[in-house]
Formats: sequence, structure tokens, C-alpha cells
Amino acid sequence: MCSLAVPILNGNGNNRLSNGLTVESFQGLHKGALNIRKVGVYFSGLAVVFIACSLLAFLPRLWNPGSPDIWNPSVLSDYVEQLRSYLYGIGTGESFLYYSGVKERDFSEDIGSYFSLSFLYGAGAGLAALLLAVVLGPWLVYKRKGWVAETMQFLGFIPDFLLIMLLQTGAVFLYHATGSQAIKVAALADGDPPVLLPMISFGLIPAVHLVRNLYERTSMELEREYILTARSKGVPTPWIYILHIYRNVLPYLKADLSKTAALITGNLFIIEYLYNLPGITRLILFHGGPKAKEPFAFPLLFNSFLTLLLLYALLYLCLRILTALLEWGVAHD
Amino acid sequence: MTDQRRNRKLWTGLFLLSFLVSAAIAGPYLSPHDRNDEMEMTYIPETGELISPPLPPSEKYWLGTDRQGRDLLTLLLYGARYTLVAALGIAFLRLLLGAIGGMLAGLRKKKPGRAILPKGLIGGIPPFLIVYFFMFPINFSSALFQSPFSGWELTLIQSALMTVIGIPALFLVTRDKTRILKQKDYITAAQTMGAGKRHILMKHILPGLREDLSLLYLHEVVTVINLIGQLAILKVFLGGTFFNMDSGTFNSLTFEWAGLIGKEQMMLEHMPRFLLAPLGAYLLLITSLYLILRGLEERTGRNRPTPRM
Repeated sequence: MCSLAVPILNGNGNNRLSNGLTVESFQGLHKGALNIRKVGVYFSGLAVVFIACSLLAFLPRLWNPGSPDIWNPSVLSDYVEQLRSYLYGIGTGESFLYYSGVKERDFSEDIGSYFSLSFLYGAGAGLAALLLAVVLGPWLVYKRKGWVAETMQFLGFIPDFLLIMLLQTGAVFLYHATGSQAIKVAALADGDPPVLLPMISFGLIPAVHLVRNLYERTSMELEREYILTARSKGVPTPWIYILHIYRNVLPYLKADLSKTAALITGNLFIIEYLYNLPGITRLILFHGGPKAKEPFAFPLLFNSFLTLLLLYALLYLCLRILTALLEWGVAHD
Repeated sequence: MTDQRRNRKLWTGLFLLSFLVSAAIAGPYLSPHDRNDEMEMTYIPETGELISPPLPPSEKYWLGTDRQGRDLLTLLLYGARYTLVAALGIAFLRLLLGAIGGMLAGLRKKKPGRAILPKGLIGGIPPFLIVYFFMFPINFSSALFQSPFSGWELTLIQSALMTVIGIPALFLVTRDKTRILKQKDYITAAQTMGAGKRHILMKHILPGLREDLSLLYLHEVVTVINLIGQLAILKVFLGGTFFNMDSGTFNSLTFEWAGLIGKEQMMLEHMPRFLLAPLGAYLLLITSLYLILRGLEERTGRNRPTPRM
């Protein structure tokens, strides 16, 4: 018989319960109960995300443009109706149909190419930015390149949209001055998409953010006592960086990865728009055109937002795997 | 020497910002042309030259004209007040509301229940989408469709929305900072001696957070500018977008700088020159804010020199 109800510590003061179980094992069982709660929190969290996405997808329908009542008078019932028909339509596949102009298309067939393009650009740029930051951040401290760090700080302060516009405008001026079209500035209707400039635009902002962060953390870490001990024992400086600094700086980097992924997904919208890339944001910003049968279609927006969140989660996962590899390479005992 | 350098950054930044603010206030009176003045196409019979807009920079038009023949400098001067009032004002309101709420919440004894909002996933949806989808159906005017709101009303609606979506983040930051500050001995001592909540807030928390709040404010201004810019690139201009059906262009009704960028962005590959003036104006504003930020950071000793290895 298992009597776990009341944990009673015996008089000797050690951690053994009256029925012979240790406090640790009792806590372990208790933890199991906590995990069920955690799963509950997790699922309610997913429900919140689901509702947030549906509200955002419904947002354009708050208005009733072109009629005397500018506010949609039946907002609540409309929302419930849209959500209901979406959920019913999942089984029949109707929730995945959308209009491109007057032509009906299937979201589940089209999304693959849009998603993979956004993911390739985002993940490629994100991983490159992370690797660059891991090398450059500590290296700038090591070489005492304060001015580079200061420049990074300024670049990081410039709003993302301005930095991206400056980059693209600069490339156009370069093209006008030299006449060479070495760098492609935007995609034509059916041409190959430009690679280099969008990649730089995607990568530059997270890179600046991460380099700045790692530079500051490394500088702070260098002031710790154990570094002084290591130096006084004659450990060569590069070894101090690899053995001590990296493993203590990596946790801060990990904590920063969700923000890095958010920076990339946030800038996806304007970068894909400016470079005319057929990525996932095209589905979100595409309102069906002026002759659309159904502008701001709820199912299309809702599906696209959920896909955007999936993209965000995958980007985060990629960055997380790379840091795990770095950790394994540098900080294992 | 260090002292002088500190002052130099801060004062240069403040000087630049006050220059921009005074240009925004006096802009419409100083501007060499009226904002609606469009230069006429002229033909010079002696040389057989046809002078038509857009014109390059000249003595008459310092920054040149746009495609409709309007003076770019005049447009910038008219738009400055919208850009500056929106960026500085919205950031201030965000900070005011977020920080007051955050400080009060941080002072509360009982810790509020844990929010079930999974911060991780929600972070994947950029906040500008809320403004975008709210504003898009009402922001546009054209020969066929007239937005039901005037330019000022649209500016107010968009500003209010941009203020509201920024408050939660500032609320959380101030609440956490207040909680850390609350654990200091001098605050516990004040509480033991019977100081009320208002006294602690005004005499201890607010002075303790003053530096943090001023740095937060500067970062917030940049966040707001980025928001306005992202929306403008997607053609939702602050104060309304006019779609000219003849030329197929999107025009800003207020000439807000990001609106000028969004308008000319479509012509980027052919005439990148148009973008230089509004981009440069924004860069000047950012530089002034950055100098103020660095000056403040150095004054408060946050910018420590890198240790020698």
C-alpha cells in the first residue's frame, strides 16, 4: 500500500519519510502533478495564441467602409460566425480556399513555396548573423576595437525600416554610378529573386543586435575574479576566451534568441515587400486586389498568421540548435 | 577632458534636436514655396528646351522637386511637425501610462497571478500588424472612394492605437525595475517608519528610476519611428493616404517624412534621388537622439570603458 498523503519527517531530522520514501522521491511525484498543470498552462497558452490570431485576422472587418454606418454594427456576431464557419470548414477544406482576384486557389497547395522562401531567407540570415556575432563580439573586445562596437551601437539604434531603406537606396546609387548590375535590387515578375541584398537586410539587424549584446557580456565577464586567477596562473589569453568566456556568455545568447527570431519575422514584411519576394507575408498583405471577390478574407489571414507563428517557432528552433552545438563544442566537460 | 567630451555628445544632440523642432514649428512660415505649388511645364523657345518636373536641386528649388513639381524642401518642412509630434508625443504618452501603471503594480505587496500568455509565441506576431489591419480599410482616399475621416482624425486614431500597443511592454519593464528597487534597504526603512505609498513613489521610486526612464524614452521614440516607417512602406501613411489613379501613386496627405519615403519608394530604381531628402531628414533625427542617448549614458556612468586584457 502506498500512503503518500502526509509526508512526516522522522525525529532524527534526516530526509526519510515515515513510510520509508525519501523526500526527494515524494517531491518527484509532486513534480509529476505539477507537470500536468504545466501541460494545462501550455494548452491554455496555445488557445490564447489561437484567439489572438483570429482577432487579428478579424480586425479589418471592424469597419464597414462605404456605408453610412462606418463601424460594423454586428461585430461580435460576425466574429463568432467567421470563427464557426472556419472551424466547420477545416473538415471540408473550405477554410483553405481563397480568392486571388476572381480565381479560386487552395491555401494548402500554395503555402509550401511561400513558406519555404521565407524560411530559407530567414533561417539563412539568422544563422549567419549568429555565427558572425559569436566570433565578432568577443573578438572586438579582445582586439579592443571600441570604434567598431560604437558603430554597431549606432547601427542598432537606427530603426530597422530606415536601415533597410538606406541599404537598398545605397545599392541603387551604386548601380547608377557603376552601371554594373552585380547586386540585384528587386525581383521582377517571373525572374530569379535577388539573394545577396535581401540576405544582408535580413541578417544585418539581428547581427548588430547580437554582436552588441555579446560585446557587452564579454566585457562584463572579463572583469570577474576568476579571469584574473586564470591569467595569474599563466593560461594563454585565447584559451581564457574559449574555456571561460564563451561558456559563461552563451547562456545570455540563448536568452536572446527569441528576440532575434522576432526581429527576423518582424522585418519579413517590409523586406519581402521592398525586394518583391514571393514569401509568406505576400499572402498576409495581399488583400485580393481592388477587384477581389472577398477582400480581407478571414480564413486566408487566419491561416497565414498561424503559418507565420510556425515560421517564427522554426526560426527559433534553428538558432537554438546552433547554440546547442556551440555549447557542446566549447562548454562540455 | 572626459567631462568636455560627455557634454559635447549631449549638447550636440540637444542642439540638433532643437534645430529640428524649431524647423518643424516655423517650417510652414519659412518654406520657400507653398505646399500645393506645382511648377508648370515651361518651354524655352531660344534653346528649344522643355523644362518639366521633376527638377534637380537648383537655386530656386534647393532639394529639387518631386514628379508633380512640388518643392521637396517645402514638403519636408510641412511634414516635420507630424513626424516630430507623433514620434516624441506617442513615445511620451506610452511612457507616461506604462510607467505609472508599472510603478504602481511594482509597489503592490501581493504578486499578481502568473499570466498564461505564452510570451514566446506571441512575440512572433509583429505589433505593427495590429495598426496595419485596423487602419488599412479607412486610411485610403481616391477619386472613387473617400476615407470617412479627415487627416487630423486619422492621425489621432493611428496615434492612439500606436500608444496603446506600446504600453504593455513599458508596463512590464517599469514593474520589474520597481520591484528590484523596492527591495533596497532605504525603502524598507521608509516603509517601517510609516511612509505611505504615494510618498515612496514620489520620493524614492521616481527619483531612482529617472535615469532608466529617460533612456527608455529615447528608445521608445525610435520604436515609434520604426512603427510609422514600417506602416508607411506598406502605404499606410500617418494622416491618410491618397491614391492618385492617374499616375498610380500613393501620396501622403500630411507629408509626414515616412510618407514621403513610402511614396517615392516605388520609383526607387529609376529615381533614387527623391528618397535622399526624407531619408536624410530621418537620419538627422536619429543621430540627434543617439547623441543624446550616449551623452546621458556617459553622464550616468553606464558606458564603462572596456577592460584591458
